[in-house]
Parts: sequence; C-alpha cells; structure tokens
Amino acid sequence: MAYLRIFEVFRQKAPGDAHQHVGEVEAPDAPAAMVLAKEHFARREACCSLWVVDRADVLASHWAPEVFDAGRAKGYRRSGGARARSAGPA
Amino acid sequence: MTTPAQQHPVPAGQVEPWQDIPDDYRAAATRMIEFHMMSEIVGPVHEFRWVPRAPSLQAKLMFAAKSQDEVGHGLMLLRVCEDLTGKSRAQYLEQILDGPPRFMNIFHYPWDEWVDPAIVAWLIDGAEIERQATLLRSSYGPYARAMRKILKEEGFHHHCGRYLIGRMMAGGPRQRAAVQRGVDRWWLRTLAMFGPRDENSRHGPALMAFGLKLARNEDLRQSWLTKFVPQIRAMGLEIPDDSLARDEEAGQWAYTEPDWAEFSSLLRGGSPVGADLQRDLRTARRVNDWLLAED
Ligand SMILES: [Fe+2]
Ligand SMILES: [Fe+2]
Repeated sequence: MAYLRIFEVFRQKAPGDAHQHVGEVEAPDAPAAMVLAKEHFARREACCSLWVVDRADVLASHWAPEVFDAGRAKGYRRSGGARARSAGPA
Repeated sequence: MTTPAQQHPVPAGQVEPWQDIPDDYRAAATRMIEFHMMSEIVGPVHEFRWVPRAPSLQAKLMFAAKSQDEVGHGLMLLRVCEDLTGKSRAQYLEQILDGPPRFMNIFHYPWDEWVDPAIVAWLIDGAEIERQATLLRSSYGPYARAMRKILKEEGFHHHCGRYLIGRMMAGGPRQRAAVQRGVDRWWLRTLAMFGPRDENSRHGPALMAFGLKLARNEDLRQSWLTKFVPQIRAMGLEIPDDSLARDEEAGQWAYTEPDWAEFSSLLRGGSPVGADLQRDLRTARRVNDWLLAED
C-alpha cells in the first residue's frame, strides 16, 4: 500500500462559508481521495463543496509560535477618528 | 512520593505531531489512541453481522449507517496513529488483523440476540459519549479534533439504540423480557467498560497528567449512572443490582463491582469472540485483495 498518499480534506458547509479543514483520507490519487472524502466527511454533516489537497503539496510554516507574536504594538491603528479634531493642534 | 504530574511534565497547550514530542508522552498517547482505533475497527464487525438480520427496514438502515460510522471513526483514528508513530497503514492493518486483541471489553462477548446490538447502541454508545465529550479537550490536537466528528455520530448511535429499545418495550411480553435479559447481561460489562478506579489503573494517572485524558474512569462511570439509571427505569426496566443506591450527600452511586479480573484478562488476552472478529476482518481483507493490489 505504498501507493497510498495522504490528502487533507476541506469542507464548505454552506455557500459563502470558508472551506475548513476537517481531516484526512488516504488514497492513490486525488479523484479517489475525493470519493473517500465525500463518504467520510459529507455523509452526515452539511456540505456543499469539498477540496482535497495532497499533503505533499502543503507548505507548512516552520517558525516558532512566538514569531507570530511579533509586532503586537499597533497603537497607530487606533487613530481615534473623530476624537482627533477635539484633541487640539498636534 | 512524586505525583504523576511531577514525573511527567505536561507539554504546554495542545500538542501537534510536527512538534518535538517527549518520548513518554508519545508512548502514552500511542497506547491510548491505538486502543481506541482498534476498538472502532474491530467492534463494528458485530454490528454489520446484524444488518441482514435487523427486524425492520428502519433498523437495517440504522445499523448499516452505524457500522459505517464506526469504521469511519477507526479510519480517522488510524490517520491520527500514523502521524503519531510514523507506522504505515500497511503496518497498522497487520497489527489490527493479526496482532494482539487490544480493544474494548464489550466486543469480547457474543451478540447473539437482536437486543444485544440495540442495548450496546443505547447504553454503551451512551457511555462512550460520556468519555468522548471530555476528550474534545485532550492535549493531543489531532485526537481532540477527530473527536468532534466521532462524538456527533455517537450521539446518533445512542438515539438509535434508545429508539429500538423503546420499540421493543412497546411490544409484547416476550419482547420486553428479551430487553430485560439484555440489561441483565450488559449491566456489569457496561460499568466495567469505563475501566478500573485510578488506584487500580496502570496508565490512567499518567494519561491524566499529560492531559491526554481529562476525566477519571470512576467520575465518568458516576456521571453515566446519574444519566442512565433514571433512563433505564423510565423505560420500564429493572437494573440487576440490589446494592445500587445514590448517596445524595456525597453525590455518588454505590454499585456492585464488575468482575475486574475478567475485565483485565479480556483486555490482555482476548477471547474466542474477539478472535473471531479479527478472523472476519482477515477474510474481508483477503476477499478484497484484488482491489488493493499494486500493479
Ligand atoms: Fe464509534
Ligand atoms: Fe458508536
């Protein structure tokens, strides 16, 4: 069964929703993975669309979680809007 | 004496397969999830044997769907195990088909009457819900995520069981007697299914310390009793335990202990019934080999 590959499965529950990762299936190719994904993840729960993606094609980030914490000091994004005028001359 | 939490530092937050996982955490997670996985794959052999013999079209549809769900749970957990241990699907199939029978006690008993699968769906899928609801917060991320789908489907199984038992209880005296026989047979097995109390549980405390497991066996058994004792009685059935009583002050049930020696011998050594389930899976594998053959 060395020919089996892992496919990540994404399901869209209703039109307008994002496709969300729901799990994986193992299959020899993408069309077969799609059939399995339909049986496996769309049999009970609402679904209007499925994506299957070969895991080998996924590039996962290698950064430590702390890297994503960088640059949290973003006070400038809260410019104050209407309050800016009443604050007086800069 | 050191507590399990001191012996086993709990990894912070949710653990994912691509992180550095301490060896003892990985070993504990593997033992627990492989056991669950094999139960989901071997167990439904009992169920799909009942699909052709189900007493109504509706019951047939329910059991076809239920056994399909259970195998699906097994496949999901098989993926979780593969990423956790690096073993391949082929290696796992060999382990499931020919390896030691590491699966739940309840599959080691015969399911000879129609009431058996119905009682199991009602009481034991109900018991699984009790445990799995806590596992949604398990520290191993892929396992906790798989539990979302599994738990929803176990809810359907429990409702099927309750409906089918209700139908039998609405039938004649022979049907009601069959259900009572079922409760008598499955009561202690169901209590045992939660596993021994912490002080007698070899792996429980470490699993709790790792956050792999979120509730103690005894606590799960107690909350199942609180839910199911009234449910069983409301169905017009008797519980075959004279010492069953609730201490309202302590909020605890007293009950007759299951046969723990039998429980551990089934989990360690298996049974003829369990061996037969594995044999059926081997036959299914052989019959379908042409489909899987590489060319
Ligand atoms: Fe299941
Ligand atoms: Fe189930």
